[in-house]
Amino acid sequence: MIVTRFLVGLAVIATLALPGCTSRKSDLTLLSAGKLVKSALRPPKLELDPVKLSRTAQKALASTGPDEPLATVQFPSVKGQSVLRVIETNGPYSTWAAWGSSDRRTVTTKNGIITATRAIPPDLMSADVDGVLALVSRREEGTALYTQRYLDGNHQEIEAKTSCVVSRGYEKFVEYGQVSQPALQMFSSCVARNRQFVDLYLVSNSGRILQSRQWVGPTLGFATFQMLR
Amino acid sequence: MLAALLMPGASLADSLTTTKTNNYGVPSGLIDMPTAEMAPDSQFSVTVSHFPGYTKSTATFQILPWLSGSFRYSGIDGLSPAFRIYYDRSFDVRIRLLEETDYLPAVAVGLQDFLGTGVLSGEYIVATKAINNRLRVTGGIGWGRLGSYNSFASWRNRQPFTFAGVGTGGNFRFSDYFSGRMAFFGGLTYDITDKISVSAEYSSDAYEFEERQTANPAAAISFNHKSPWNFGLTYRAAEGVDIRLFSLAGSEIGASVSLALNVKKPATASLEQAPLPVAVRDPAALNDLGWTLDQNAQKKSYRDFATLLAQEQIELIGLNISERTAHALIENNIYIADAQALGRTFRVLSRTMPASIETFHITVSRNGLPLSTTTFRRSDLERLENAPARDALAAAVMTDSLRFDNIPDPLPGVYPKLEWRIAPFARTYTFDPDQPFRADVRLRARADWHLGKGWIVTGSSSVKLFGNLDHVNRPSNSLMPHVRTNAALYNQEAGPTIDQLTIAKYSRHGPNVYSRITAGYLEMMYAGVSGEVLWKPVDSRLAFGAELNFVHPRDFDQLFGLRTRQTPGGVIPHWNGHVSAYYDFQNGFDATVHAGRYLAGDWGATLEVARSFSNGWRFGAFATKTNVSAATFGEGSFDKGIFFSVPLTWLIGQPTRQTYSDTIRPLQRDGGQRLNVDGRLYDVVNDAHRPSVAESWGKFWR
Repeated sequence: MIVTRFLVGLAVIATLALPGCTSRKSDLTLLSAGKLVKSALRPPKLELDPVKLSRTAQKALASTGPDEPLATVQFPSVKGQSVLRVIETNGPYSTWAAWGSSDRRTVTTKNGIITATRAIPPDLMSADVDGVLALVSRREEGTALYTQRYLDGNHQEIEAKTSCVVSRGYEKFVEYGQVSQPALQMFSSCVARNRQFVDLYLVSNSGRILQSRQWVGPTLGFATFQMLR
Repeated sequence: MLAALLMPGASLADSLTTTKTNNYGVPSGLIDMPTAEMAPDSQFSVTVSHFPGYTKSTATFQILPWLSGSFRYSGIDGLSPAFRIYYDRSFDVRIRLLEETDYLPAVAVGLQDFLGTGVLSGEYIVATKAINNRLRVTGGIGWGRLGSYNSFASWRNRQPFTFAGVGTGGNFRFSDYFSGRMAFFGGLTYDITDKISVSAEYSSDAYEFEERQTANPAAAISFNHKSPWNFGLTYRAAEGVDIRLFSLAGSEIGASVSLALNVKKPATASLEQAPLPVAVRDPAALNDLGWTLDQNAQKKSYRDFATLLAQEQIELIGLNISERTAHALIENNIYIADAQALGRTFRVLSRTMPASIETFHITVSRNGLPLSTTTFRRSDLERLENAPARDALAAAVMTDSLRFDNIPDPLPGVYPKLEWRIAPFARTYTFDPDQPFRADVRLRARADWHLGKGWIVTGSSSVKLFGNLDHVNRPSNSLMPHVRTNAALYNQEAGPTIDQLTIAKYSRHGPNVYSRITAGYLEMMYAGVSGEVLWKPVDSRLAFGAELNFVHPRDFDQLFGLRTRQTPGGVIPHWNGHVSAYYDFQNGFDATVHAGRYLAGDWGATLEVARSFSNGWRFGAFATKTNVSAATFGEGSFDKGIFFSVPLTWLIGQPTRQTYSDTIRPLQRDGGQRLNVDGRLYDVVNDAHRPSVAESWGKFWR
């Protein structure tokens, strides 16, 4: 990867197609390209830090209204973590972004199941989760189709269809942020010709997904999504 | 994890591909011999292989899963008495005829050096079978160079290669292909680990011409073919980087390096910011028209729209708001895909327009020309935000902007708009027999002054920073008017030079019709007037154009002066021009034909075929035949070459429309040369039309 990035850096400079300065703010210049290469060669050190996450969560809980939805998300494969608040809703869909920042990355959920990500590449563009969602939130066993769509490097939306078997697990007591209630483990084991994964949901008696570990995509892998309220 | 296997769209049915290349830079796990393996689709590789006295640099592109093309530049020490190093350009093409099955091998056919002077020419039919995940076995029959060792038969007549027979070169040699002596070759490749593999081959190339020249006291080459057995060891240093050591002919040790990338896999993951989500309206507010009476509410809508659109880095030219409709006029100078600019602008509209507005129109413009208008019902936008992209494509209606009589006027302050940039760039001079690659790095300042209504004044001037183009000492020997072969005289100028100084007017005269007229110092070598019209319906894959140019050659110092049209090869005519047809096959390929009169007054046609990727990459080849004989044209016989575009966003992940493009000709002559005029209409128009927008529609919700 480092070698590839180094080659990329060389290529950028070798093409010399870049302006030194320009009137157009969106243009990449030699200076900004230099910075990019530098940051690619020395990527910022990220790590999953549950203590820091919970500290931010406490701050968010203290400074927001009692009805404002808050959650945490972790992407272990890219060592990304964030406290999220809802920035927009569209029917059952909620779009979440980092609390207390204007960071333009979003996660969209449908009643607790992740249906889309933006600026967390490679992005999950949309997903059909209704079958699994219905079973999981009713805490029933059964099978359902589950479709995720990705954008490939050539702007094409690639559809990945899987078939999932939803099954019940054990009762668990969930204590996280201001959430403190019993929940049932629901497993969704999904298989397709070239992929398989098991999602885990912790579902309250009223059918709300309180916590989950969900397969977002082949490169990102699993995300952990936990409600703080 | 199984991450690599689980890539979306990845097929487990591997159709015998390899990312290794052989000494000729073509996909092959062997050393000097070809195999029936192909590279993965859209793979581009550059291979440099060397053994003492012999260097080959090859660029190969996997044009289709079953078709690859290569361009090679080789240097051979002392092969010809006339040159210290004999440089040669050659093209290869390979076709896979049969895919590998459980029991049968893949079969491919290939032409090596089928167009150049033919010093490396050979043809082959080859079969390769993967025995297991690690071992591949290859056997084949070769002709030409590949039929020269231990041949078992011969049919038809094939002249052995000599310099005397070369003539002007550059032509097809149909009568030679697959004729003359034929011989068997074969080999094995074994992957010891994922990074290390070994190969052994029995070569059917006797290196006859090299041995013959070794015996020729006038030539300085020294080559001794002792054995048909070659051995190689390949190390994969990183993804896309292969290094190989090999022994050749029992007498030589050499090495090769291959660098590869796949056009469909961006080098850097996207660093684009998330788009703003759609804002869904409160159903109770849908019929609230109170805002139409409230000046402040209206101003706020304009202001909010302008602010959010600026955050998306999309340029707002104009905006009309009425009770039920909003129409935005934008310019996308940031995203490769206009679909992405449309998607973001629609969402900004949804966040800023009063709730009573149900219909959104967005007109995309470039160079002051309204190119297409996309219409979306706001309720569709709200409904489809979380649906597959194809649903939104089905709901979008794209029409010619001229069907709307109320395209927004530019907002006050948009025009005149001055854009400028100061940038270094490289000017190259390739394939000079004295030195194959020379370059100058120059610093250029360019300004585009958009006056509005399609008027653009452009000025561009550059000065040499450093380089060695002034060492080019190759006086033109062309028998035609010297329309391009004087490049060396222009390149010698350190400057400052005026690279372009033009006024252009872009216009629309009716539905589907676009025009351009450009006057001034059009390019490095010519000043004059260039006029063009283009017919291109917004949803059409077909376009027709016509261009007429009146030109006069510029002084070599590239300032304001003009020089005489008289050249040793004849008079450069004032008039040239073409009619053109453009067709997008919608499978990633497009073709263009230009027919007409070229700069030197020769009449003929150019065919361009390219594979264009939605992400901005483009690879293509062109050939021009005009009514001059190969003898008059000179070396190369007719004009041909390859061209490519590399989108910067692919490299760096940041959104930008900046693209590096270049054309490589094996030889620059005077026949079949067109004027280089900035801003030709098809390139301005096509991206905003439905076929192109639809190809990138996946980006609509990104």
